[in-house]
Amino acid sequence: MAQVYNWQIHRRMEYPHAEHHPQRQFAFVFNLNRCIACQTCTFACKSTWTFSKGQEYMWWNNVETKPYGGYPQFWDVKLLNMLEETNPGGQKWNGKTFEGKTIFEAAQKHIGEEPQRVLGYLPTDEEWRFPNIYEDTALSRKGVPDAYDKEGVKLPEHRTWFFYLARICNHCTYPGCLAACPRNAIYKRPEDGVVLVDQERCRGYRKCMEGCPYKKTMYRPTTRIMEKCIACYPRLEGRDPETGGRPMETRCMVECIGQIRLQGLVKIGKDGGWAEDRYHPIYYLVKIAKVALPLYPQFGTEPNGYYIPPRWVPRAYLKQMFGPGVDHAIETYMVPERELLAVLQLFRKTTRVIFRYEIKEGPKVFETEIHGKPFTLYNDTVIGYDDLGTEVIRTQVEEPFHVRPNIHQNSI
Amino acid sequence: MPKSEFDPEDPIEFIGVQLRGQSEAALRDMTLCFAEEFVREGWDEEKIFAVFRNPFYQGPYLAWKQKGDEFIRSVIGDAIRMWRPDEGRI
Repeated sequence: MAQVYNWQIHRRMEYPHAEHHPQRQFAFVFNLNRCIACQTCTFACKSTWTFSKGQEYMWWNNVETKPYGGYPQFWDVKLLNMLEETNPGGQKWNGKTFEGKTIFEAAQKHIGEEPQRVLGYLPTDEEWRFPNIYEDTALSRKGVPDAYDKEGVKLPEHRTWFFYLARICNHCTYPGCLAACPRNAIYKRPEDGVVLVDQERCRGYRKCMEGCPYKKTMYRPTTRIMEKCIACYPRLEGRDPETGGRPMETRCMVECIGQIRLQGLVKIGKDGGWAEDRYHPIYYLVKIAKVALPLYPQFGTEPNGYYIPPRWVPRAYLKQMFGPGVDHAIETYMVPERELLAVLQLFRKTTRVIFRYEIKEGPKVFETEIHGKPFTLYNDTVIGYDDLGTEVIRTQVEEPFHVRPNIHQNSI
Repeated sequence: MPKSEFDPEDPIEFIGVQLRGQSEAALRDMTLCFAEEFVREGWDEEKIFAVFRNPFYQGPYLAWKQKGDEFIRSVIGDAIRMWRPDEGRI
């Protein structure tokens, strides 16, 4: 095993391959305070990439109700349990450092039927049913399979907190799927860090499905090989005519009506970490404001999806899910500083990938107290630029609110 | 097959199980968060209130169902006072 540095757990760790890094890395931020589980992202992806035979159960993008739902069901609970069994009582953070075992380190201690490079399991066919079964998915009447209940069915109503967790492949820096593949059929693209399956090499052993902690590689029975989220790479490469050759965000990002998503390509430095890029929106949210956090960083794959945690959820649960930065992230989000408020306005304002932003200071609008802290709102203008430095979006902190009149509701 | 009986002792089976961590404060914070997000988007009180009354928005709706009109309006009012203070506007 090679030793690699994982900044999210603040230490070196063991990984089956030597350290190699792309020039840029596909990364994204999802604001979970805003997700309403409309599943528009889910269907945007489905209708683009997974509408064919053998892909019926595949949802490369899914939105699940936490802590109740999961796709596949129980994916995170099962792996957390396996890690705890392998390292009882030891899966702990000490400040920013994770002192427990990652899925690569725990695999060496795991006693099972076969040796594993990556600690994991294969979900059952039943667990793969539907992106949010029992939550958004209507049930058939008991004892009457494959038929809808004509009198209607009732979805569960939760009496307490929950939130929606939107997920795609995290295009991890140290992918579990890549590490687990016995045929080296999975690779990270050097130009953008997108993780892809080489379908010529893949033999459908499903080791990647076992090894991906987020369960984002999927088996296609009609071709007997694996498939996964490709980060809409033709759009990322600027091959969609709409953007005239410039990088474009993925289908799931662009369609988000809740405006919870922002995608970017961050610069990777010589040391393999994110190169300083102060006015890159993703860099700012993750590294400067520290308001967006990785999903289950303790798994050790250094996922490149980041989440602004939902502020009403019990902190212990959030810390297990997003690591030790939760308190800071929520406090920062609840009373946002001037720059953060402006950068949050960039979410879902353009289909182009934003590489740099600029803020032009605007007038003071009001002074007040937000959650007991002094706060001043400035109507700043935020401008986003593409990879060539061309302006692609310009908006203000105080955006005008337009309501389409009834007579024009269906006029698009 | 879907189950109609739930086992509260089953650590994996969350469906229909009441979770620890339920409190009035958490429920109010969830309500306030939804209200603040929409106030920041520029929505007015009536539009935000309609979201809470709509069963298709499960989060807001669960708060309205448990706490009723008065509570929801008061929380929306708090969010509006925070993010749209008439006093202090320059």
